[in-house]
Amino acid sequence: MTKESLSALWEPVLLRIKGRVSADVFSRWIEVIRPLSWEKGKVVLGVPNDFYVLWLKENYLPLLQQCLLEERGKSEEVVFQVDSEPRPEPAPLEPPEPRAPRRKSTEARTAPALNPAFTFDNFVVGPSNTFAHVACMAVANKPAQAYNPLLIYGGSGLGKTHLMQAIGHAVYRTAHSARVCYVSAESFLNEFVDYVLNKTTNDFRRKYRGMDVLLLDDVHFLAGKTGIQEEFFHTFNALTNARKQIVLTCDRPIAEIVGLEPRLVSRFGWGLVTELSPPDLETRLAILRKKAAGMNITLPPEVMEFIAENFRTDIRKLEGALTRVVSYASLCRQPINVETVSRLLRDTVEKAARQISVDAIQKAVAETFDLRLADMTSKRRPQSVAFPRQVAMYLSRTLTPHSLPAIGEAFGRNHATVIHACRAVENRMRSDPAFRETIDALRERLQQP
Amino acid sequence: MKFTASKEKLSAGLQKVLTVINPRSPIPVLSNILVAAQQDAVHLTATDLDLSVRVSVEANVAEFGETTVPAKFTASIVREAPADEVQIELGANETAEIVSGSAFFSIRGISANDFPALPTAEGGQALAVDQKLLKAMLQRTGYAASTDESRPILNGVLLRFKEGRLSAVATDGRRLALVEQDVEVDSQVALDLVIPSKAIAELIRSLGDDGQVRIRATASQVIFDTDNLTVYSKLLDGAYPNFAQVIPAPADHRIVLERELFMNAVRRVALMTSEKSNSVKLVFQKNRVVITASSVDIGEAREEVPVKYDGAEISVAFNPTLLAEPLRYLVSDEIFMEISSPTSPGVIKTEEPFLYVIMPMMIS
Repeated sequence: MTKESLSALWEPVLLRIKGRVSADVFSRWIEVIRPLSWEKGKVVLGVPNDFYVLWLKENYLPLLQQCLLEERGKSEEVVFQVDSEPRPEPAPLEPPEPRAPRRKSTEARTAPALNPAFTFDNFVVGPSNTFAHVACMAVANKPAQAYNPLLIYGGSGLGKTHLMQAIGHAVYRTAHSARVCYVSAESFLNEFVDYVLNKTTNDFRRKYRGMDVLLLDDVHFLAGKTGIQEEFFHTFNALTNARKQIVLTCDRPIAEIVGLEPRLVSRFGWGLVTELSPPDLETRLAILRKKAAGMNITLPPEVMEFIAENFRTDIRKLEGALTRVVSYASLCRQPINVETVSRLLRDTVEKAARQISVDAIQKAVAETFDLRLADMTSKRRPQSVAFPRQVAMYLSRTLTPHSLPAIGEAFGRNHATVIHACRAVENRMRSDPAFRETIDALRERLQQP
Repeated sequence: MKFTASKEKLSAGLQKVLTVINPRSPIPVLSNILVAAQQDAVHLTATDLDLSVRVSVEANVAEFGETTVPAKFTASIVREAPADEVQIELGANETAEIVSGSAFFSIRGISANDFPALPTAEGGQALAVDQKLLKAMLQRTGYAASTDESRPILNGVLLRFKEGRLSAVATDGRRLALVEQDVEVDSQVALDLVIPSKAIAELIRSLGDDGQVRIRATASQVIFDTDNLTVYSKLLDGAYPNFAQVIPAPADHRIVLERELFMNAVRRVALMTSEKSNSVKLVFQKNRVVITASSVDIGEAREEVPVKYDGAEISVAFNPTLLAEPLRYLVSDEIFMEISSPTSPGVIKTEEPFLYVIMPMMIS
């Protein structure tokens, strides 16, 4: 949904609320709300910080829902979300623009060099990327009207290029005359150098300034290269003046790029800046499922979880791990389980999730609960010894890939005891937050390299 | 270690530290109290790692030393002791022997070396404020802190030292309590401390009426120190939200109410509220307020209380608990209530420095 249609929906609701609360309350709490998305009976409202979420939820939610009900004739789910992004300035007034020369409709347009897999349909949305996703959808629906330029930043392998190319796909498909160009900053530079060498910089300018949507990937690459920055500055101005969409990606916040001209930095921040952060576990699982479904493969859920647990920060590596597992399965025709997978991915599993041995767990637990290491395997069963021992079993089960019988053996017990221990510890964790903290602290300590 | 102390004083000291102990701690030594006998006093210390409290009790010390003893048992033994004096002596293998009159107990302890070291606030800022004043400020704000663990920063009271003033603030999203006082602290000091509720409760319980309390704070720890009590607490991490935003602009209507009369009436009427309809309705008319509550499946209540008011009729509904709670901790006879509309926040003020914002409930 675009920003315009969102505000068109939101505006009348706002008016209704305004009629119900004092001007003081309205200006303090209501006016700052920005609708972020509105789909399938669910309204996502953006507010500046967590305190707004709390105060609005506690005090004004019924009022909001009432006004929504009256306005829309049906009840809508309301979700508040902190949106720390700078609020886009109201659209600037129509400048006396030098209109870009209209293209003849017969002029052939070249298909942009896009990866066919990078579409919105293939993008898995989770809490870490909702905002960026919504912003990109908005741009794709109304290029040059929603946010211009749109800058997506985030670490390597989090989906910057995917989202950017998805915009390209969507615009190219829906707007039949639109010219879309996707180029990485590096090819942009190389191309420019070629044109300079051939003394045909005018062709270069014509090419890029005639685009309706310019997708420039990895702008941080321009840092320290003044010549191309100068050229891009003019391209940027020409395109924005002609109200053409520019989308940029960058691997860090734009202000942190050293060697980028201030006038470019300020221009990049004109529109909307949106961040991609590493996905949470659920999102990673969803990505794996989607990818596996695409390959017509089903893996046991615990294998999926193992991969998702161990590749946290880079979706590219996450998918790489899945591909590796799948190809191994089809080549060796062997059943896939956690043990084979952990062996298979041994060298690629991120350092953070290094192998933790049962010995290390026993030692750490014994230290924490002030027991002798021998108590971990002894037959003594007073509560003060037995319970920490159960904790150690639980941690061994969750932190190591060992099987139940293997863990049982390490404690001089059988697999049923381990199962019982895991249940007991999980129950206690549910009912006792302090205990849960102790366990979390232990786990953290064990996972530290 | 060997000492004799008055049963009454020792018992009071043990009770003060006992509340700190988390009875379900997985670490055995944390269920114990550290007992350290020095010159003319015995120091009792208990900790849950986040909060530690140390109390000094006068004692006749025959032999210096320290150990830890199980908190609950020791407190019960001393409370039930038959004579006015109690003697505690450390025997072999960390076994403490407690003698009072003809009663003898031996209780197995854990070496004092296993007891966690108390935090220090070296390099932190040091301040001092009046004990009684701080206690009153915490009393009037502490109850308003949130217990919702999803927003940890609100699970405590903000103490803000700024320009020679001390503000205490707590909020849980439905009400906010604020007390601001001038204090004799260097006006250059600017310090925000967000102190967890458990430590606040301990301070309210243990601070006295005379003398100063010394406050030392680093980025993560705070220590409150009086002559015979030291409270060590971790600080809640993060920036406290901008609470000034919650305080509404001065309202159109000011109502003067008699505190106790009003509070008791609200409590009585609230008897007819249920989980489903948990609100009391206040209708302010000329010189009176009508308080009503009704629950479909229980019944109705109605009470009229005289007030000073001569504006137009106005009705507003509040959660009765949130409405009555602050009134318990105030001392002045009169309170002022400001209400501008049924949907705007209500404000309670008094002659004392106190401000309370309470959010109304929807009247259907």
